[in-house]
Amino acid sequence: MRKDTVRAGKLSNGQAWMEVEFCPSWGFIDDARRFVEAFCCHSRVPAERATQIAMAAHELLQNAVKYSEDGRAGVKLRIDPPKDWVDLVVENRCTASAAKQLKVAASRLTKAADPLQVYVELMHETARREDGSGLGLARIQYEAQLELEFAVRGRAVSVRASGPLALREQPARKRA
Amino acid sequence: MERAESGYRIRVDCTQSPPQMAMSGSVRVTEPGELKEFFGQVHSALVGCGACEVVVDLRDLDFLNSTAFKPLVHWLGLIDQLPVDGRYTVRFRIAKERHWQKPCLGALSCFSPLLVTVEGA
Repeated sequence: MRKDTVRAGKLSNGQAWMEVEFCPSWGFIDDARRFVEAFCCHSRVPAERATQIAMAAHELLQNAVKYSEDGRAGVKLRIDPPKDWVDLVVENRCTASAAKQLKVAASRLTKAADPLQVYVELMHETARREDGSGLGLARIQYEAQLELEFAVRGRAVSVRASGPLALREQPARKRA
Repeated sequence: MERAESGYRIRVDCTQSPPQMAMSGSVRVTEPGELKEFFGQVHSALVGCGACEVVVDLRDLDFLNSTAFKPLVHWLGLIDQLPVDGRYTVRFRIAKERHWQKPCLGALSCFSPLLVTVEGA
């Protein structure tokens, strides 16, 4: 059995990276979120951005743990200040039905021109349904301002959330 | 009314005007069911006391995962189902230093712009 692992380092080109792999545990997800946030701050990412990246890690890990099939989930984070870029990848193996569900959610989210619009649409659907909603992924796209990429090969799932380290102004609030 | 679980607490005081709700800690639930039920009870109490507004203080709320966000969305859906003249509004108080709150509540106010206001953003 593989052990839980945490590895982190800094490269000579200014990049900082960390990897966490663990057996699914809800309690560990929050620890991982705090670790990611602390790591970002240590890598001189502004506190506001660090919080958003950590939130994204939490949401991705939550999905990975919820749908993990073989008892493993992992997160990889790469901070690249010279290129103003953050790259967050969460990988796991999930059930066939969960992989199918993810493909549907992924298609909708990645095709959306406006992250806020699809987020609000999902909230309307959430108000009416009981099962999984994709709200966590929409949250990453809008609140954390990270683009999502999905790779599903059989039951192996990889979700990448990436984007600039610098923040953009959130779109103005829309009135009905 | 109060709900206290490992890591978080939600307290509701309907005796004040307007009624007050305070959420604190880190709300990380695996299923939304119990929280949804709690917010349903809060909704019934607020309707019962004829509230026009409720203040929800999030300033001590460290984190809210998306599963815990769903019951909030569902709650607003319940308010929206009331006759227009029976609806109450929800005023969220947030903390600037809790950086996740502004975009999160901003999105919630886009979902329900007539019911939600955000203070402290």
